[in-house]
Amino acid sequence: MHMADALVVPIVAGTMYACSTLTAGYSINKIKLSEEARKIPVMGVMGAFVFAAQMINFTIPGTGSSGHLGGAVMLSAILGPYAAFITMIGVLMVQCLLFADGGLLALGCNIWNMAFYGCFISSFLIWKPIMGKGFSKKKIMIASILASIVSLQLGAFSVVLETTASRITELPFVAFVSIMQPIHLAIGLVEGLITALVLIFLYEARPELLWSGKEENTNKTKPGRLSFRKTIAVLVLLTVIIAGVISLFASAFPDGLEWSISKVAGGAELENEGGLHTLLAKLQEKTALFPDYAFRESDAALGTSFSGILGGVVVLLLCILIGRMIKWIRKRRVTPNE
Amino acid sequence: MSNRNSVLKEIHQIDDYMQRVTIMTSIHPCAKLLVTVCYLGILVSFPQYDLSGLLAMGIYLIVVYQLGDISIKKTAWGLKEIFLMLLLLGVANLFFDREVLAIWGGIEVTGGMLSFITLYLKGIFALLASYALIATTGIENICYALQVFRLPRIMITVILLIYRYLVMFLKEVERISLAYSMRAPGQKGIHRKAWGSLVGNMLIRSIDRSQTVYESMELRGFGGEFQLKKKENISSSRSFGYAFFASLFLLVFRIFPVFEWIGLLI
Repeated sequence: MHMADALVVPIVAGTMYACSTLTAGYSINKIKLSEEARKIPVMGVMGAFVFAAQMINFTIPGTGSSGHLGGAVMLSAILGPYAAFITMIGVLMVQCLLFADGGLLALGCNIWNMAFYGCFISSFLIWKPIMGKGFSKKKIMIASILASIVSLQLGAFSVVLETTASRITELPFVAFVSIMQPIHLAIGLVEGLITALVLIFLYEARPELLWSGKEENTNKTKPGRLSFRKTIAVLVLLTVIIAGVISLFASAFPDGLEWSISKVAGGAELENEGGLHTLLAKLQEKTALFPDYAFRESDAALGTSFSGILGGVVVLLLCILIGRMIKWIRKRRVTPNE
Repeated sequence: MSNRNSVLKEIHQIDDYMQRVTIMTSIHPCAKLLVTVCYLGILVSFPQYDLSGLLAMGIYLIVVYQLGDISIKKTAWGLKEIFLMLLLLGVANLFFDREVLAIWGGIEVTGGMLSFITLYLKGIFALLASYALIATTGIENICYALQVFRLPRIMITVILLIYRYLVMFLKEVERISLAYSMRAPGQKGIHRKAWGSLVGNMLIRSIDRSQTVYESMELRGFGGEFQLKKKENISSSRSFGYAFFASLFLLVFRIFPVFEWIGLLI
């Protein structure tokens, strides 16, 4: 369910970064105010554990396929929602940076889709109410499966919303939803079952490790080392810079086909007579190798657009050639001929 | 198993890249992180039919991969699995957006074709840019840059711990899976009877290990945060130069149709 950068536009990426950042800031504050700061090394180790354990294939009976462990739900059941959320951010960042699983720009979306629902919705709305006064095998089984299904369904639906809002795919919303939701229902069921069996084992072996849903030892008089407001202000400012300023490029021009055609055929810069434009137009008349290429409606427009692509390809090839030359020269310098 | 092996291989590959002394490794991690984020933002801001504008973004990658002495072909091949999702989403455009926008040499080019190609290019370029960042910077230096940008230290500590323990856990998973497969030859994956106990045992060992690790760290003066330092062979002039020229390039190629001008000359 990791979203790539290509699936989001800056404004959607920025919005989701802001949402995830605020939730992360709140979670960090909660951890710092309570005694949970001691959990930090556990969070790191558990993050690495979840990452590695997700690579174990579990055979699904009656099918030829296999399933994996659900990370967020399991972390929440052990560390609690706040610490689990921060751990999941760490896991997603490592996945994104090291293995290109999900993009750097789409990280906000991925945190929201895979960590927020799995940590908060499943903890507060499913795990905590079901556990009530105490644990039991049956309760753990129901809570784990339900939490995995609900969090994956919400996550998958968010992917559809974010991709549709970014206008990346022409796939109709209803068709996209009807593809995504059933697939993730099956995945959620399997992940929930695996997570439940692991948590039941933990309950039998070391029940004190499970998160009971009770509030931690919150010492509100003890201030955190890092001010919550300061953290939020810095993170929001960063988000605004990343998303807002960059998205100006997107909002400064009309989108899609209109933008593309106006840019190549009717844009202000291209319409200007004289100067570089006239010079290039004259040169084109003399040197154009592809006069037959044209838009249906406008002869000039496609010629220009095709020229753009042709120009691009030529420049890229030149860059590759220059790069290879530099590499060749560098190699010769390192190992000079005898 | 191949997945775990490829992850381990990838980690070693990045470590190898980091050991090299290149122009890119001598640039300050903050400059590289900022430029990469700007690059990604500008890349995804290109409209879905603007193919020529998007091609310009490839120049940055060619230059960075050359300066970092990284094989662009090898990297792209290594990331092939991720392109499947892009393919699944992009292929829908071919069927749902059939408006003919252009005719190139007698071939009708639909909006779906153009948006499919641009989506793919955006995906490839974004992945290559992110990979260039990690391969020339390393996770510790990226964390140092994040620390400079005031990312909460808890998060940085968690990321570094995950990274440090990842290889160890992957090897442990490899050992467990190997031991299981030797006792259950020909069986694909782990049988449902062992689902809970196999991972549960590993989980309990991990939690115990983390407690021991924490105690050891406390005994060695760990105060809840890692103290990250800037790499020694950082060149300020190169860093400023890189940040300035990369930003200038991105702005110029995003605002002006440079490739179209060049194409007109051809």
